[in-house]
Amino acid sequence: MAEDGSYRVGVDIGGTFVDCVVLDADGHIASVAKSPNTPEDQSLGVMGALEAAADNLGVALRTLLSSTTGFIHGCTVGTNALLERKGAKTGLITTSGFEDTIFIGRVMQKRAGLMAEEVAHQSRLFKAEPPVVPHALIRGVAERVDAIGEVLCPLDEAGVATAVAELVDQEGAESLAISYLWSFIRPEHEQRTRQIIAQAYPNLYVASSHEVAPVLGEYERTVSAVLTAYLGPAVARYAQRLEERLSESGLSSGLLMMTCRGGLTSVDDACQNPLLTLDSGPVGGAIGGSLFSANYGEDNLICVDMGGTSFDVSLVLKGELVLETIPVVDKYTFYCPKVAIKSIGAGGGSIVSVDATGVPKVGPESAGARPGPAAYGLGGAEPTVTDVDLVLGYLNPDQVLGGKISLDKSKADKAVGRVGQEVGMTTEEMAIGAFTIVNARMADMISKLTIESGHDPREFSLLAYGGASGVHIPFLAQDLHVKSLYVPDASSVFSALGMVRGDVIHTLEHSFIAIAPFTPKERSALNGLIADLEKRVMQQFIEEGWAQDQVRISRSLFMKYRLQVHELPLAIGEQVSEEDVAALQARFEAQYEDIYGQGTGFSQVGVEVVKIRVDGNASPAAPPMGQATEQPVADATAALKGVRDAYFPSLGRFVPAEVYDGGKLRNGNVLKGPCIIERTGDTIVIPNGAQGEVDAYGTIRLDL
Amino acid sequence: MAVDAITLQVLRHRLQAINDEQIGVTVRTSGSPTVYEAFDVNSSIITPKGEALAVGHYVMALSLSFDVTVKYVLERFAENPGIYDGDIFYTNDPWAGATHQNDTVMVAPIFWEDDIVAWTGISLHEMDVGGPLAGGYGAQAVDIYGEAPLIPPVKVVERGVVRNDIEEAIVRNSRTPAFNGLDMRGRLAAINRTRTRMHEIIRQYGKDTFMEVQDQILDLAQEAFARRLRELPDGTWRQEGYLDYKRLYRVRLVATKKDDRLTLDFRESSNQAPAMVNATRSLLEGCAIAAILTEVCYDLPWAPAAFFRNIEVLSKPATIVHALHPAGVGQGATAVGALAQSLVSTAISKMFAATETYKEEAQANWVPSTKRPVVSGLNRRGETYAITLIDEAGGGGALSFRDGPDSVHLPGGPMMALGNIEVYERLYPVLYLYRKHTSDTGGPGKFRGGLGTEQALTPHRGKSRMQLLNLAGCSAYPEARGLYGGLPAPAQPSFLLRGSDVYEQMASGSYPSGYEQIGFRSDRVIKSREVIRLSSGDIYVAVQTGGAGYGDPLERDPSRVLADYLSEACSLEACSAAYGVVIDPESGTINVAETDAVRDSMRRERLPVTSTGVATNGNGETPILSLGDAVSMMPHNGVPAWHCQRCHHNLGPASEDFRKLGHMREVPIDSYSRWNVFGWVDLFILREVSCPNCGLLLDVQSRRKTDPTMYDSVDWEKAAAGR
Repeated sequence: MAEDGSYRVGVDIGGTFVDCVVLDADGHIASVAKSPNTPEDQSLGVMGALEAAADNLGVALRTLLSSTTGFIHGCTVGTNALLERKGAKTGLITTSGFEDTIFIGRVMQKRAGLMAEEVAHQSRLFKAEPPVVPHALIRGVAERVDAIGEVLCPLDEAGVATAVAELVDQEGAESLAISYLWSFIRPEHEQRTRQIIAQAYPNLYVASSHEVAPVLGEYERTVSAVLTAYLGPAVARYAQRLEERLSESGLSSGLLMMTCRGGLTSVDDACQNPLLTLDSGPVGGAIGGSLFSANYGEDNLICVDMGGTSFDVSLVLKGELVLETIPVVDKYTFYCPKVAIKSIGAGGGSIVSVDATGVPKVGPESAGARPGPAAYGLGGAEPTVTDVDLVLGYLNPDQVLGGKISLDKSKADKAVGRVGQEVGMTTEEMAIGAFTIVNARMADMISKLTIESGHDPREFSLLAYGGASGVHIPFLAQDLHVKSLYVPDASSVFSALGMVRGDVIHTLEHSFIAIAPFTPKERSALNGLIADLEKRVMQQFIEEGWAQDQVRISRSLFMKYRLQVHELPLAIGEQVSEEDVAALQARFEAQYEDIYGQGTGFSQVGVEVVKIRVDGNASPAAPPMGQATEQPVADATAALKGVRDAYFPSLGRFVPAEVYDGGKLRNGNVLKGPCIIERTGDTIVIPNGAQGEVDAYGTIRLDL
Repeated sequence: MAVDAITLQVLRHRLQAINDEQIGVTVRTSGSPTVYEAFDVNSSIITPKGEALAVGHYVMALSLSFDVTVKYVLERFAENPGIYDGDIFYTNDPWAGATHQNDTVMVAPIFWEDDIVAWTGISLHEMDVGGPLAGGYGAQAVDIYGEAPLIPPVKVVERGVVRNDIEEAIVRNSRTPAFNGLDMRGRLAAINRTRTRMHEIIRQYGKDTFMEVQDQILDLAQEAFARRLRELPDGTWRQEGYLDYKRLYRVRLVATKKDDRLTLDFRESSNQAPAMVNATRSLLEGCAIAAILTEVCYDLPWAPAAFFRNIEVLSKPATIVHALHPAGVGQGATAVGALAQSLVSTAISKMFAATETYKEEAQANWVPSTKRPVVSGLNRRGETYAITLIDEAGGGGALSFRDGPDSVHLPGGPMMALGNIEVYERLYPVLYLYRKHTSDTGGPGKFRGGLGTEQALTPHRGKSRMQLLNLAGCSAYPEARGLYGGLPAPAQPSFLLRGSDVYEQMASGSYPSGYEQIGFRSDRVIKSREVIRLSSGDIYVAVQTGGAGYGDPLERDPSRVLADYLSEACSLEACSAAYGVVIDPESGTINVAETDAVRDSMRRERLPVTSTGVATNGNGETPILSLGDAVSMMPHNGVPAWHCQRCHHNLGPASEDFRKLGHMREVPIDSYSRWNVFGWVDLFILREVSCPNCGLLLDVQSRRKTDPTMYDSVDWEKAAAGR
């Protein structure tokens, strides 16, 4: 137990497990625990993980929670409710004549979020099924605003009242979304509709499109409002239940929720903006990545997570997480600035097979946790990446996973060998081939992402976490020629660890359209708007109990060439001066050519500002990373536990590799490849020619 | 030297990724809503010899003829002006690999040292490329000279530097020069990136491997395609479609599959039209392969040149599918091109339906023709605008096990999207009154086609009247072909409403959200490809049709028909007329007794006068093969025969097309969908083939009255033996 009895707890709900990390007042990891996920009521799984964490600490749960000063939680309640269609029964009120907007889905709903292989299969392209709002729960009402914000048709208030009564009383709607054309520039009709609803049903959950997503594009805005209404009640119900359980068990400090925006927020905010919780799971790792970037002085960092079924990549550029604004979940595209995380189906469970042209392939199909890899002996006959890793000697055949599943190398050999036979390869050749292919697919994904941002992978370092990363990423990092590769300690709970050290973030955006250079009048309007957004962001922090000096504010102008739509953010100071204005176009064009190459700019069409964003960050009293106490020692002999034959591609053969016990490695230990490090939760392979060094935090840095 | 399978897989994936990235850059840097909002773009990677190696998933036909562009450049310009590292060639000439003049192509050689190691190319739809009709297409032209000007391949970027003189010459003709210029710069950025990425591959793997991989990608894809063709029955499938442009044209496809060869014979198609709708020979090939890629090669690497090794496309010069200069081709891609593609789809689906492995891939036609307003004039600031509004969507075809999807892209453009109404209203002086799925557009069937959309728009705050080209086909007859008793999707009419009351209605607080709610001075049907002028308050109403049906509509589960009624997919009238399901609109329930009676009587109407109406029992044998839920082939002691699947009636010997064995009758086209009422009801007819014993609908063809029925000749006994 920490001396001053103050803990910080992070609980992250994953696909199969709930991860819990407890930090003590010095920032050291005091306890790590996992407990099975309980999808029917995730709060039970949370309590289970907490019990286990308290057990590890040797204290009662009540003691742990009553000395906890910060509790951070990442849940998948919103994502699951959407995927399983278990959200609130939601009604939609929209502009008459446009009731089908959400079904038509700009035609692209049928392929949104699909992989290229799936898009190619025309006869299997279908819309989101079933739709989150059925036809019977949509009502059009008379109202119309035009593109310059003029009201062509006043709101039919009686029609609204009738529609609401029908939806709630006859159809049984538990929640309502409002989305009218052009509401983001003229919100009065949506505001009035909300008032009418509130008069009749004061307790009904209501989401208005102009509040949820004040942006151009009625389809994405409507989806944003509908998903908010669909998920809000479920997230609120869950949060309430969890808060009750936690406070019954002794927690007195406030609960913070993790958001897909890359930060934390209050429970109230998450319930009002449940889109923030969608797909927030992998974001914990990205937050961890951005903190890692700051702590290790690695401004440009590729963060990769290779787990059981998928490979997720996010980027930290100049110390900042890269965001996307139009994410897709289950074929629905909506508006919500979110950490950009790209995924492909490549993980330990990915299946090795032969494609229609007779060439070996890996994934995207996965054997999942059950039946899992052939080596698990749970009935899986298909060889997977884990089986390949076992055949190649990277994984220890004698280990017992999670204390339960023992590996059977002969089953892996047999399964890999069988697919090898189909293409005339030996078991080893097949394994080497599959290892190469899966690594190349991941490398292609990394290149695509860095190149899209206008950068070469060589300008980055790699941070790898997740159970399967340590075996694969060192090899592909060599091919990508990244600067160095870091594999952090407790890599399998890296997400929970990232969360627990994350910032509270509140963001506001507003459209502002002006062609550079601005007139004095435009400049003063811009400065007024920035000040206003800043005030509102600050207000939200103050309502949550923060002091003004704890909040850091940053501001960005989003600029683009006129005629274009895809904009780039430029950081600006508190106010935009005349000198700033004069420099804007040149700054934008420099950044543009930085991304797209010299000679690709098009100055003659001019540049314009389209949007302002104000971000506020506040760091909860997160303890610093634990400080090093030991003296560094280069010699790792104390951790050496044996030798195992493993395959090293650059040598082209199996060679005896020293195997180290990760738990016994100490600060400063140097490990020369080829060798293998076995830790609780993951295995790291150091390729021939590379060298690893352990630091005070247990992170292993590889120079490749 | 052969590259190992692993390196091949790695580099094949990487080339596809590079190809996707170059489209990404093009889309992100474009200023045209046609590109960034609707994704009317595509790209391709080509071997030095001009073979297409990888192609993107956007509007596929756009980049399926770059081989023609590359060969054009190699044959004519190798010496003068020469081909150098960093060069990019530009063209919009449909005889040089463009699909129609709006789709501008940029192709570039990729050099390594002194040799060309690959070509890459990106094509996209420009909003305007000049010519008398703003927005392009040449609807009023009498030949190519009345359409947008042709620019054969010219070197617009020389050794990495944009040639200002050439760029000016290209954009000078356009009404949207800044957008076209921006799109050129965006593609320059994309191509530069592709070059860098390919050089990385060569540095890592060596030039020899890079070249060898290209050959192997093609060889392996070809072998896989040949294997798939061998799994399909041998035979000849005939289908014909129509195209209305001032008069009626036909495109006929006789598709013959033998062993691992596929011949697509279009030689019996109409002579070329004077302008607009014709396809060039390269476009015909591109559209044919687009159908093959999405429907046959959905799980193979998309290496088009590989598949062409086993496909022969036959056409006759100076026909509508193989136009010769100076015939106009301004709308070729979405006119004859889309129609030819839908004919190939039908042939493939019939081949698939006869196999156990692929029968669930057989799909009735998707919407076979575009429906888009091409609008131009002066906007509210008095500036010229011209744009093809990609704002409507047709439906997808039904499958043997489920309904087709509502509102999809034209087949062959899986990544395409519709523009948001707000995006178009912000950029152009237009006001949309509604855009919605519209009932009775899906072809009826046991499983019905997906729905198309209906929309209405009026000019709003422009400084001039709006010129509008009704870029539509199949306005007056059902075209999308159903399968095994599924009905074709109906005609897709457009309407002009003059002097409407919509502004007055809105001001008074009522909103006109449907045709029937709009008051007007006069209304009329607009013909396919007609150009009209609209003042504010004049309304353009456009209906896009849906997908075709699969199986006899009378076999559709009545509860599905009720669900269609309740979700407004099907009108009350069509529930009864097309499906024989009687619904009480008050209670929203099915009248079971009446439904049974109506369905019985509808089946009886299909029977020949002399029919006994007595069911013949099946002989208890296991069918050799089945076609949809229509007919099954029974062994019959070595003399196989077609049996009706519903009543097991023996239709006749399996050596005949079952369509010749059933009972045929002709039915007016306006009998099942309210949209066909606006079609050529005197000129067109539905030919229905039914089981002469029980009236199960086996096949339906929409034909001009004077035209013959289309029959297939398949070696069914051999097909059966192969299973």
